Order: sequence, then structure tokens, then C-alpha cells
Amino acid sequence: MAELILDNISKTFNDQTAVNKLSLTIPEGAFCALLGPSGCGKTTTLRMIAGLENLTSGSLTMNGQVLDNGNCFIPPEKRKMSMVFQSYALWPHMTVRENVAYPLKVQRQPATQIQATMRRVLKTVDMEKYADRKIQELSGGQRQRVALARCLVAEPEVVLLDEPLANLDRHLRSAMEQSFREFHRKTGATFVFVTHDQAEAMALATHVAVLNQGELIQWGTPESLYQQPKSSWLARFIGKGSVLNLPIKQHHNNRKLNAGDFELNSSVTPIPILLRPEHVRIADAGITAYVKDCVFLGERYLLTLSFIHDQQSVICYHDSALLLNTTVNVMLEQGWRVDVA
Amino acid sequence: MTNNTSLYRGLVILLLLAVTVLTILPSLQLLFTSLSDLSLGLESSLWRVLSKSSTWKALGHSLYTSTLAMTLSLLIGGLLALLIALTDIRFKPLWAFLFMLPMMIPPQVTALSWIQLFGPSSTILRSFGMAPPLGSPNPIYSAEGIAFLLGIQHAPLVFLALRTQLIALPKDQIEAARLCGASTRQIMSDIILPLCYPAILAAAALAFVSALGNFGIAAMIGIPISYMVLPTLIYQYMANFGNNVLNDVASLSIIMAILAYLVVYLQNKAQQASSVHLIGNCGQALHIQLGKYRGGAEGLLILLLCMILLLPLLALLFSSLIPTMGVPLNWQTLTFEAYHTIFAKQSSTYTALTNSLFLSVSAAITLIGLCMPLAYLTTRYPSRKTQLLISMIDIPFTLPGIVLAIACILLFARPLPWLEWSLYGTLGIIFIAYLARFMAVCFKPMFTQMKQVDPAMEEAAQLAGASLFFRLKDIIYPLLAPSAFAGALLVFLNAVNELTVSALLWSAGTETLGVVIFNLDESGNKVLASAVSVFVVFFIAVVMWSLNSLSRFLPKGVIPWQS
Repeated sequence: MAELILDNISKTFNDQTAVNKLSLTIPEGAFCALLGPSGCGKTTTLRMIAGLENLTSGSLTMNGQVLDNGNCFIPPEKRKMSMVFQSYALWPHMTVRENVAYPLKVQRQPATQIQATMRRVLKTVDMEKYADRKIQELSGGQRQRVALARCLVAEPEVVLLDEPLANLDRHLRSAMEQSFREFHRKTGATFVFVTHDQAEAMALATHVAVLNQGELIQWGTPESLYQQPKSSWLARFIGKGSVLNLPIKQHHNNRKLNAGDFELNSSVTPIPILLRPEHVRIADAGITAYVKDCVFLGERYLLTLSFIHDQQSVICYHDSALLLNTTVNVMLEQGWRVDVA
Repeated sequence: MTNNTSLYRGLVILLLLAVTVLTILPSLQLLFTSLSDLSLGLESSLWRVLSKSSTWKALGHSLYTSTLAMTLSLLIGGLLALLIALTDIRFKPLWAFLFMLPMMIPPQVTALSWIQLFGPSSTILRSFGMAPPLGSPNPIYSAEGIAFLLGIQHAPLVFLALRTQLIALPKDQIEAARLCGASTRQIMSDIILPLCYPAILAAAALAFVSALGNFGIAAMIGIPISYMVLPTLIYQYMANFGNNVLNDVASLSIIMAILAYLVVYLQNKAQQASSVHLIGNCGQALHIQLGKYRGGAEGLLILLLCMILLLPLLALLFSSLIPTMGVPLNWQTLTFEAYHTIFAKQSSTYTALTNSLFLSVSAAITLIGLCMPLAYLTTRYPSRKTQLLISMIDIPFTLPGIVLAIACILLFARPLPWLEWSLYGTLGIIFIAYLARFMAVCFKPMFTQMKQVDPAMEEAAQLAGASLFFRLKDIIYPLLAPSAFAGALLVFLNAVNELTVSALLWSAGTETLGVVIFNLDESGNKVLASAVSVFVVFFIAVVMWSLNSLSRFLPKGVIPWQS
């Protein structure tokens, strides 16, 4: 178990800033997601935590011990961390058994103990039958489980996962999500994982750090990111919803707006408001709009409605299909004021 | 990866030192020696060499034979590459393998086999009663004969370079042209040839430089008719010995080196100007349906193979089975006496065989040891310093072999400092020259494979707690092992039949197989020379075949004649 503190860490590659003054405190036993579009610096951050990249500036500490601060550097092999790579990085010249046993072999544990630990770990990932297979003979999901077993066998304090589910199909993905959750619960280790898929981050993480262009956008629980995004960029990035510029006069300073706050007044400067589809309703009275698009989702329909007066679009759910260009009235029940970004 | 900086630095310095000693130090010494007496003005060696008519004559001969040979190589190699890479011809791997043999066969053996094929004393012609009357000339003994053999010898180089490019051609670009309505002929001239232009240039330069530096063919055919090219001229200077001979050959070597570099430089420039970036999916190679012409094309290949490989080798075999030259081969004259003589322990052939085996095996093993860390460092820590290292490795391989030999003599003729002991006249000097010459051959496959090794493989081991030593031992070396083995086999193949370098470096007791064939032929003992050659060809075919069967364990592109 370990608490990780990233204090103002930056990384530049040949004048190009990959990570810029990032500060995070990842609590003991957290399941932390680093979320962001590709090229946002999330993998670089993970590699700096692992020690595979040096910090350009800032400091990284684990349980009060400095891992890297420019002067002092603990190499990856001494950090008691382990990692599941995006490519899995299984060694093709070794069998499943040899791959999984390698971290223990390097620690020079006695052979009998290695065998016992390994059998236990292979059993937890349900791979004992394949112990003597070569890596090439395994399917994608099996490789993933071997990588996970190798990662867990040495009982690391921090487990790092680099887009671990990116190469899997949808069914395997949900099965693996389940097993990650179980392992996290069982081991109590601190998990840090990188993903560009916000649904995956929401489903797995206890804490999410959203990064964009090397900077931290917001840090919090999945719920707080969904309900209370600070910027319009984040509001668009996470979950469904529309950010509209609405000319409303606010009578209080809260970011959260209720039904009563949505009185359009053309004399005020518009402010950006996030509207989640579940808070937009078709009603008897309200803002007039026409149906621009209607998509069947299975349990309901997703409508895109365009306001007649200024052409801004908003999305909402509806329980029946509507013809395109039908005129409807829209009721806004709740909104969240965001910053422009 | 960031830590272990001091260990890394130590390793880099050590390797840098080794590579420098083996690669640029000989060339620098050469330059230094040739320019050392420049202050003498008209009396300086460079001026003396430049003012001699023999120099200019040899230069002219070199240019003539090399240009002619390059043209022939381009024609044969280009035709083969087109047929084997782009059409639906059958047994492609077999063709590729068979057409690689002429390159792997030592040039002096090629020369000998063609000499045996023609002329009044040709055993094979005599056996069939087709030999021309005594006194009629052997057409191989001519400038065009030299060019012809050089062309055949280096056609596989062109074949390899073009085939790689042709296989990499994106199929969809050609399909796009076809959908525009272009016929096969138009596709060939408008799409394929322009896209291959850089590869053709590279192949042409390679063929030219190889022909320029070839000693075996030029010596076996040119020396008897006093047709001197630059390598044979240098050889003659050395053989005659005299005042200032070392300065003179150094100057001659510099001229040759400059010529070789000029060609490579021009080719690089032209290639940059005409480089095209291939975008698109290159998964599937093109298959032009030959239809009714397929049988004809295959027949053409068989004919070509008979002409450039089978017939000369048969001539060689015939000549090795007779008691003495001039006798036709039949059941009465058939004898294995020559082979018996080779393997008789006291003969110089036997010494040469063990020398060559020892040299090539030890060079291969040493180069593995040197190139593995080199491939690792240059891939994992790409910097300007390591880039420089890589480019230096190519120098001794581009240099004509005879130039490298001269450079080694200049560098090691004097006793080594502190040791008071000279490498000259021992196997050591040949060994060092081989290391320098074949380093590129060994390094390339390992470098290719190292670049394909996912860095995450090593990082995973690092996070598992493995130190640099353990990572190299448990992860990197096992992953590089197949290409290291392939590289070593290629070095072995090249070294075991090498003549150009050892021709100048050998002395009694340190002769190599190449030298023995050359000496036996020069002293008129053509039957024995043929027998040694047959043995060498057989030996090389076996090694190549074993390399071939190893191919499925190797990454793409490591074995030169496979895709």
C-alpha cells in the first residue's frame, strides 16, 4: 500500500512539453485513472511514476520517500511497482510459467516458494492449464491475464496499467474490468491506470485525473467530474451533454442552476451552461425547438433539438420517436455553469 | 531508461574505442601515409603515382570493366527481381536461393570455372569433343570477359536490392493505376519503375563499387593477359616490392577509395533528390498473372541459371576429376586424386582450410560479442554519438578490400607499441582485417531485430526488479539470438571464401582458402585449384542451406535472399 505524491512534475522532450506542472496526491489503495485524449501526457505521467522516464522538474514521492526529484533517482527495478503494458510486453522466448516466475526469480526466491506462489497466481487468473504454453500460442485475452499475473506475482505496492483494455473486444473488456476490480479489492495496492476511454475510467476508478495537453484539467471522483465539470471542454469530454450559451440572469452565485433559473433574457451576455440529456425534457411549454435528429438507443430515443430562435442544439432522451422537423417545446430542469475553455 | 549512467558511459567508450580502431583508424593511417611526403613536391609518392601512365591506364580499365559489369548486373538482376518479385512464377524461394549462389561463390572460383568452360584446354568441351583447336584464344581472357564475370558475380546484389523494393510497393497504388485504365506495360513504365528509381540507383552504385573493388576475377583473368585494373595494380606493386612501395600503394589506395566514395556519395545525393515516400498498405505483394507466358518465363530462368551457374560449375567439376589438364574426362581418366591431395594433412591446402575455418569462425564469434552490445546501445540510446558509430561501421565494408588490406599493413606492420611484437605475418592481422570488413555484415541483422524489440519487453523486466545485467542476459540476448546467429553465419560465409584482403596479408603458414585457389591456379595447377573450388562451393551451399532452414526463427529481412 502506498500513497503517491506528484508535486509539480514536468516532462519535456526536446523543447516539447509533454507534462506541465502536474500535481496529484494519489491516496493509499486508490484506483486512480489518468484520463485524456491521445497525446495529453497521460502515458508519460505513468512512465514517470514507474521510473521509465526522468522528471524534467518537480518531485515524486511514495510514502514520504523521494523517488525522483532531479537529484535523487530510484531506478524502476527498486521501486516495488509493476506494470501491465499496452502491448503486454510478454517475453516470447519464455513460457507462461517462466514469464510469471521471472520477478520472483530476479528476487532470488527459493525454487519451491516460486512454484507455490506462481501456482496460486496462475490460478487466480485462471491460467494454470496453460502454464507450459508459449506466449505465441495464447489468445489476446489469455495474454492479458498472463501479463496481469506477472504484474501481481511480486505483490507490488503500486500497480500501473497502460491502456490495459485497449486491444480487447467488448465482452472480454467487461470481464477484465470485473477482474481488475476484484484484484484491486484483494491486494489493496494502489492502482494507477491510463485510458482514453471515459466510460472505462468511470466504471473502474475511485479517482480520475483528466489531462489535456500536458496539464491537469480536473481531479476528483467520477461522480464529481460528471456532475460538476469546471470547464466546457471537460463537460463535452465526459458523458453526454450539450454546452449552450444561454443569456440568463443569475440571481445567486452557485454553479448549479435549477428550473427556475432558466429565464432567457436577450439583454444579458450569454454564459456557457452544461445541460445533461437527462435534465432536458419535452413539455407543453418552454423554449420552442424543432427535431433535428432522432436516434434509437434500445431502451429509449436520443433526440437532437435545435432552438428556433438561435439554432443552438441540445440533446435529450424521449420514450417515443419523433418525426424530423416537428416543432416541440423544451423544458430545462437542471444545468451546470462551466468556464469557457 | 535513465539510470546506470556510469556503466552506460563506460560501455559506450569501450565500444567507441573498438569500433574506431577497427573502422576509421586504418583509413586515417592510409591517408596519413600517402600524404606524409607531400612536402617533397614532384618527388612525393602521390605525385609519382599520379604521373605514371600505368596508374591512368589501370584507372581507365577499372572504369571500363566496372561500368560494363554494372550494366550487365542491372540487366540480369533487374530481370530476375521483376520476374521473381512481381509475377505468379512458381517456386519463388527456390529461385531466389539459387540465384544468390553466384554471389556467395568466391570470385576466384567463378573465374576459374569460366576459364574451365571455354578455350582449347576446357575439360568439359574436350570430353564432348567440342573444344576449339589448340592455339585458339579463350574468349574469357579479355577485358569484356572480366566485365562479364563481374556482372554475373554482382547481379545478385542488384536482384536483392530491387526485390526488397518491389515487394514493398504498395499494392493499392498499382491497383489505382490499373483502375485508371493503364495496361501492364504502362504500369511498369509509369508507376513501378519511377517508384523503384532510388533502389535502382542504390543497386547500380553497389554493383559498380563491388566490381571496382573485386580482386579475384580481375587477378585470375587480368594478370595472365597483363590487363591491369586498380586492385591488381596495387597487388603487383606489393609483389614487386621496392623503395617507397608502401607510400606508393597508399597513394594508389587513396585514389581507389576516393573513387568508391565518390560513387556512393553521388548515389546518396541522387537518391535524396528522387526519394519517394511510399504511403499505403504494403501487406500483399503484387502478383502479375503471366498466363500463357509463365512456362516461358520459367524456362528463361532455367536457361539463365544453367548459363551462369550450372555450366561453369560443371566445367569446374569436370576439371577436378582428371589427372592433369588437357585430358578429356571419361571412365578411364576419372580420378579422385585431386581431392585426396587436398585433405592430405601436410599440404598447404589443408593448412589453408584450417586457417580459413579458424579465422571465419573466430571472426563470427568475436563480432557477435561486439555487435550485440553495439546494437543494444545504438537502439536504446539514440544520440548523435551513437549515430556516428553506426555510420562508421559501414566504412570498411564500402572500402575496396585491397584498400583495407593496405591500410591494415600500414597500421600493423610496425611492432605494436609496448608489446614489441608485430601482427604482420600472423593470422592476427587477417583476423583484425576480417573484423573490420565484416562488422557491418554482422551488425545489420542484429540492429534490425533490436529495432523490432518492443522497449516494453525490457521495461517490464526492469519493473520486475531485474538489473541491467539480468535484463541483457534474460531478455535482450535471447531475443537477439536468432539474428546474431544469422549474422554470424553471413560473416562466416563471407570470410571463409575471402581472397581480396588475405591476398595481401598472408604469408607462409597463414594462407587462406581463397589464397590457395589463387596460388594453385597461378602456378598452373588447375586441377587441384578446381578440386578446392568444388569443395568450397559444396561447403558454402551447405552453410547457406542450413541458414535457409533457420529462416522461420528469424525476423523478416535477416536472410538476404528471403523476403
